[in-house]
Amino acid sequence: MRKIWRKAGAACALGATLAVLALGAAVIPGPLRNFMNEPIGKIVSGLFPAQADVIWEPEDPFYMEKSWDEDRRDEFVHQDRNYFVNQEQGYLYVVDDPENQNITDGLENGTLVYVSFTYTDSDGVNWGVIQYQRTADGDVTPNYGAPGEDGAEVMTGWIRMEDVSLVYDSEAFMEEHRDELELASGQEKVNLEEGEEMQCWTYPGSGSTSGTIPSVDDNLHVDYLYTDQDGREWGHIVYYYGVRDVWISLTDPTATDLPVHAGKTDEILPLKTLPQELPATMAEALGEENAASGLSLWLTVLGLVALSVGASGAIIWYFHLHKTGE
Amino acid sequence: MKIGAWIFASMGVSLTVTLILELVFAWTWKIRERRELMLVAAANLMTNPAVVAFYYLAAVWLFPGGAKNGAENICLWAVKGILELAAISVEALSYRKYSRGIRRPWLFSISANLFSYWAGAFLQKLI
Repeated sequence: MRKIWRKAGAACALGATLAVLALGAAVIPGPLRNFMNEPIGKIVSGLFPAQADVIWEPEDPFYMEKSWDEDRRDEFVHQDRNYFVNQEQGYLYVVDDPENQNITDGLENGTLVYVSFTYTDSDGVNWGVIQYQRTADGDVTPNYGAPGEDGAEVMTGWIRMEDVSLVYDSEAFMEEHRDELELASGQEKVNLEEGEEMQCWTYPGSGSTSGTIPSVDDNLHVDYLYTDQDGREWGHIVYYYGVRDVWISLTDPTATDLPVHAGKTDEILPLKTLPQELPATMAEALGEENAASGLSLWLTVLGLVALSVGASGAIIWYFHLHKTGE
Repeated sequence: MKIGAWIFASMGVSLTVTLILELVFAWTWKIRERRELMLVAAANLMTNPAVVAFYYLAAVWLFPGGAKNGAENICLWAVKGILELAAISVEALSYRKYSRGIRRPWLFSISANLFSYWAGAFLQKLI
């Protein structure tokens, strides 16, 4: 009995120590916080499952129910990317979940959506979960968990990834310019004068800023370098005090007006107004095409079963002849 | 649950793993004659694809949205049980009628199927 109490006491002491360290890390600023965060991060992530990592998750019932199941967690692939609706028919349908596929809403071409996770259903269709808000005027914008602005209704749903086009981003840039990227040496430094702020960009030549960094220290690390067509050197930052996946111009770190060489994004297809009455399910929306492909699949399956029964029957019949022939 | 091309992979993997496990089991049951082993393979070729196909057919027909609670899962288990019993019976009758070396066809069929089922489930957990 004493042993159990001693172990419980040790566990409480360890928990209290971690809590104090975590609290300290929250209140102590700057480099000391970074120093304390690292051992805490390593200890805590070792004790708790990966769900404790800070990745934004949508408040979607299907996602929340399935992703917490250990056996199904890997079915959800983290995306963290922006897309715009771009369907041939001029709009797409939003469903409640990829398995039931009951249509809950529709979004017109050009609507910006943020896809946090994707999931592939049993038909091999790739679905993305979105969380968005729709104002009284009908405007749709991504929602990241805050209450809807001006009373806008916050909704979640699933969309087929084939119905959207990617908004060209840092990842797309790095994929396209893979051969032109160089590994940083780690010696890259940025010096800012007092009052100056370093501009962050979505990707080199995007013309789109991702905020500013008011001061830099030795924790600023660049992993990849890129030299653009104007000879300007850029550095990619994976993470720096909450700023993630941005590019800085090492040549002109504070410049706000740099030449634009935008990446290729799909052209937005003509939008059409959503029908007054939405179909009940995706199957209904897609028409009989789904029913026909399901039927042909089943016929093929049953055909294979018949083939295997026939082949094994022939083998067994051979044995029968062989046995009775003796 | 929706039918998709994945069912072909599922049937293929299930048949391959079942054949391997049942032949291994037959070998340990001291069934070593080539003819007898081919009979075991043929019997499983007859039953395994059918069991897998009819199981998924039943699952899709009964619960197109997937089994959502304990009762529905039990229902699927019952379907699986009935199909496995049918497979055991067909195999046992085949052994009884056509085998020269399997002395207790029903015991062999039940044991082999139990072994391949649980060994297969264990392997799936490992993967």
